[in-house]
Amino acid sequence: MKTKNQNLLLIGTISVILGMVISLQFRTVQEDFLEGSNPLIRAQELNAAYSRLVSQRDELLTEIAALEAQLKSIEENASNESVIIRNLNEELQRYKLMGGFLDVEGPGIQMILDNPVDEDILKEDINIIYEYDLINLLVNELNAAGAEAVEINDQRIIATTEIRTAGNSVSINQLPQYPPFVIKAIGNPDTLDGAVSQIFGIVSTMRDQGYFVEIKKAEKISIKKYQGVIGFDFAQPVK
Amino acid sequence: MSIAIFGILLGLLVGYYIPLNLSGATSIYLSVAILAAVDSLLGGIRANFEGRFDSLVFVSGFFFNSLMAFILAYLGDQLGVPLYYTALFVFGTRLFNNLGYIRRYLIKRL
Repeated sequence: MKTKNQNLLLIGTISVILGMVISLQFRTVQEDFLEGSNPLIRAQELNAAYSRLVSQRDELLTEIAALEAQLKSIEENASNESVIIRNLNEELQRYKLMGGFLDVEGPGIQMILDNPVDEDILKEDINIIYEYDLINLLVNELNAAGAEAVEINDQRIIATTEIRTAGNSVSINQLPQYPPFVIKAIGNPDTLDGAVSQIFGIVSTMRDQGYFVEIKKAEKISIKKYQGVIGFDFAQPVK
Repeated sequence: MSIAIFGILLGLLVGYYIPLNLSGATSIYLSVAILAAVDSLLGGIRANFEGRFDSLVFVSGFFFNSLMAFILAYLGDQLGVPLYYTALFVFGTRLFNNLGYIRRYLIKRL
């Protein structure tokens, strides 16, 4: 009878372990792993959320465009009424141009940066996404060569713009950007081209590493304005 | 039988309130652990019915089988091949075999 009880105790112990493991796994799946749904349903949920956000973004972009048109017409009306306002408005436009808050166009160069086309190099573990320092250097060179406006994949480079690797993308203006990176710069096309494609320059460094770099001079490059909003929470002007 | 069910319920409660969080990566090991436990349990119940239950065989079987299954799962993880399938396959086959014996035993007893 003693051994019988002992046997039951052992079976009970293993049962407890089984129960523990099952509920641990259950809790893991429910709480963290998939937030309580099976993979298929989770994928559908994420998909729905994604398309919802995309349509919301499109709506907001239309709204921005409408409001901007309204603002512009108000400014024009006001300028017509008073010389002071017209002067102020012209100054405002100048500062907007400096800050990167106006769409601009002019001669310049357009570059395309991408991962290696050659499959042998692709197999090595290199990715343009991790070369944000090279992209930074490139922008630096363009600015040094007198670029008046620079953008990467529709993201205007302004005073607060960051360029850094974030996950599997490069974050520019806090927005994830993926290769190929189309870099546009407005300025003297020959100067800009010379600054980046000189021997041992930034472009040859990138090409040596196997990345795809294409440079095109163009008579007309159009660059969009900065799309975000800059708030100053800490910096106050000194009186 | 009843002790097994009671034990599982107790384990479920304990596991639910235990302050331990596992990542999704451990799910392979847990699946193997679950099967090892179920396998030992059914094997033990079967042996108990047949009157040849040996506590040392039972306990050592559970721990050694689990250990081997963990090693296979870990090795598979490192090599990138799903070696834990072996454990799943063996445990799964034995599970149904033992279940068959238990069922026959219960039917005979009717």
